[in-house]
Amino acid sequence: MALRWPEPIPTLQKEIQQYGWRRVIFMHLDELVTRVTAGIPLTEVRNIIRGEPPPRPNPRVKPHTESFILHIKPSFYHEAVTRLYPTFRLGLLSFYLFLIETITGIFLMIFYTPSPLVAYESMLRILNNVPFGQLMRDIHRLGAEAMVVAVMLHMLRTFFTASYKRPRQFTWATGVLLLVFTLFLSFSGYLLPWDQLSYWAVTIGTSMAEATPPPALGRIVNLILRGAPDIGAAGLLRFYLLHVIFLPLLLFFVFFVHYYKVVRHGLSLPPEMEAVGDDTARKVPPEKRVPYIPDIAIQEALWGIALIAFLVIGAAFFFDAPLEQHADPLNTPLHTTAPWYFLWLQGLLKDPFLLALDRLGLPQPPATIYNSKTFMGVILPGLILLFLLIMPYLDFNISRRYRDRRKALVAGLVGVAAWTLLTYMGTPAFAVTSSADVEVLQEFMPLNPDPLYGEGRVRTIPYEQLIPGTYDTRDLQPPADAPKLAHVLEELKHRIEGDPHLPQGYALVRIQEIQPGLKRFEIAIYWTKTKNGQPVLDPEGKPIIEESKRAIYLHRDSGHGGE
Amino acid sequence: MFDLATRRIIGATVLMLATVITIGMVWLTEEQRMARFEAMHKAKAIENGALLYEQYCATCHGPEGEGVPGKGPDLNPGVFQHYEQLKAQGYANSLRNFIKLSIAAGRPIRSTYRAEEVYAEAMPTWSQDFGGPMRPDEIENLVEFILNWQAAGPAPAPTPSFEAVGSDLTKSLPPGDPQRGQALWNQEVKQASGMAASCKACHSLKPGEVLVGPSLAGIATLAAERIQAPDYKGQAKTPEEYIRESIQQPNAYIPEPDKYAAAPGVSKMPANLGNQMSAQDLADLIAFLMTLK
Repeated sequence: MALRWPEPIPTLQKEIQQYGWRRVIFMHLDELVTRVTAGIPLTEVRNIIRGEPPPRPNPRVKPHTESFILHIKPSFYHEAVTRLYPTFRLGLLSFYLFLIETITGIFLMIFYTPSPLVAYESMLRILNNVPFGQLMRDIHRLGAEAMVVAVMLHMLRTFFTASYKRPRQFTWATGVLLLVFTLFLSFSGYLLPWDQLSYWAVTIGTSMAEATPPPALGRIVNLILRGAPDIGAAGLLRFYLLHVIFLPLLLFFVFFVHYYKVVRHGLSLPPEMEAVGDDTARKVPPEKRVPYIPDIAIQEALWGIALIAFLVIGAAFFFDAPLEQHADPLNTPLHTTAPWYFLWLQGLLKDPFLLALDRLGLPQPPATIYNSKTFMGVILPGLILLFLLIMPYLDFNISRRYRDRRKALVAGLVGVAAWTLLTYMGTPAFAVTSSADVEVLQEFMPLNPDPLYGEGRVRTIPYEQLIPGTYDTRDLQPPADAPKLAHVLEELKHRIEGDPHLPQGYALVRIQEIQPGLKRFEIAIYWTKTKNGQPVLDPEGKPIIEESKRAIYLHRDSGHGGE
Repeated sequence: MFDLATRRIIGATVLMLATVITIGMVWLTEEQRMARFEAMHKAKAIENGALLYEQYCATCHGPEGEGVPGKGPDLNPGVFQHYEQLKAQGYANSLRNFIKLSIAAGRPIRSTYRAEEVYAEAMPTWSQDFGGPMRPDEIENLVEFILNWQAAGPAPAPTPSFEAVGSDLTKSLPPGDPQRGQALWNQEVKQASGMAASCKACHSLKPGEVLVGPSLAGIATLAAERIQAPDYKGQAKTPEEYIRESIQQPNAYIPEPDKYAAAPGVSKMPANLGNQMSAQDLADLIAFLMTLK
């Protein structure tokens, strides 16, 4: 039998004849709105805007079955999770940030080429030749940091409210994976600007891969990750592909598993309202239900507006993504650090275990048995990750209430404290020893911005105050019209004279004008060589004077001296 | 004052307006910001270039681009004058590219500019593309630094008023002061031309160390032996005369020509060093060298 319409399709003409044109316009408008909203008719949209309660049956749940985007959202929430506590909206914010990162990331991708020859040049083009380029880059970077923070806090919140317990163990496990992907997503993007900061941070970060036991496997892991023994063209391309395709896809997939489980078991209620094992999603009493449309949807839109405002205003006025000098594989900056969220790993690699043995005066274990880099850099973080993944399955405490979870809460706080301490240990402020003269030079004029000292004190002097001449810290006579120069020279004098490793130390500061608009600033430090507190004498019986020098150039327009 | 929904609407409106205004402000100032960034980056490139220049270039072209006789020509204003000369001959490239290519690929052959000068070594290739040590971005920085001289305008060449000894061996010399000769050698005092003596750029005082020319350790003793040697072709009768001849007319006699000749009969040692010196400078230098027994 031939397929045919049960009745002739009404033509516009017939409709108008039958209903009159006003009604026909309304009917078609209504149909359009219903299609766009995936099931909410025009009159109902009007009711939503007027804040009226839905009729029964509620037409506002239709989009949850009709629309692709909304079918994953629950059609109502428990009233107890619609306030700031207990969710703090951290999961929602993480997802929003992922979307914003995707959009700004695609914008940046248009102007970026992943090759060591031109990657840095791409960054310069984005900053000096692409309208909104800097804003997009700053939002992307600020959003990345915010996403790491949001995901970490989300995990901590879930731990402290015990939301990970039965039946939500698997949701937690996927969440841990999402945290790992977020960290690696951020970390893989770190390398792309190809400046000194990114190159060395990633070199440090990936150096742990090499320590994967056994050594043969470590070499292979390192080769797969970097594409060569050291990061170069192959490594940059690999990190680029990880950053723009592989990790986002993986994260997207695991995110849907995670969110499916969240909806499946319902958002967990505050601990005192829900026992372990309860599946809240299907047991919300009618009077506690808050419909997604319009209440939750409006809330979520508000959070989105607030987040975008935070990122745009923050990136425009308060935050500049750093861009240092071009990556130089032959020149390691003095205080190189991993990104802040991996500083705890760097702290582990300084090996608190060996430091403790040393402090207690106990012998060090032989290197054949205890390899610090393998144990602290690979095995221990691996165990921590494994523990986090299976933690909910090991937790037999049947209560979610805070007063029944004292041990778990204390353990959580100890974990946060340990993380903070290790992060501090990872910074160059802890147990990084270079010679005293190098530290002074680094503090006053690092060749690259330093994590501890920033651009250095010399670069705070305005160009006009760099008055050519030679200044001796033993007899300072700085020019009267250069207060900032005088101040920095005074600081240098105190710094050197107060350093016990630089006995009878002094500095000669020489400022020369090399080209109009370009000055050379040289600090030469002199001190008496000592051994066991006694000056070392040369064959003629005179004390040996050691010397250490560094020079930098300062251009009028390079933005130093700015406050 | 307002209920929750109204407060939320007001808050969201304020935040949206703030976002739109911020984007508008960025839009309006974007041109200036990009120009400012470009100027700042150029300044940083000049700073980097200056460090590279100090590290790689200054030994041959002088710390301020004034050149080192016998090692490298002046760049300021030499490189700009050279470019003008080339352009007059129909060279079609830009000044920036001329400088960049000269650094990156070196100078495999002598150029016609400053043709009267003799340099010990050809300009090597510097770019990693041609087997040198520098990355492309470093060369760009260096070019920015060199171009910054032109932005400053060529420095007026000092017009020295002194009588140079040149290559004239007959002129009588005043008594020499070995102390001042040593200071000249160490570049602590300048020659009459106002430039530092460049001897130590090529000659070491450590026995056996060859920089470009031979070590001058023990030159006084050696000079006495040289003038007795059967293959010696010069006119010197005393060690002092031998040293004087070597400075003023290095081509008169080239020991070990396979090592120290730039071409047959042409020493690597520049023939015009005398143009920088007064008779007193020459006498002092000889006096100093004669102390190296």
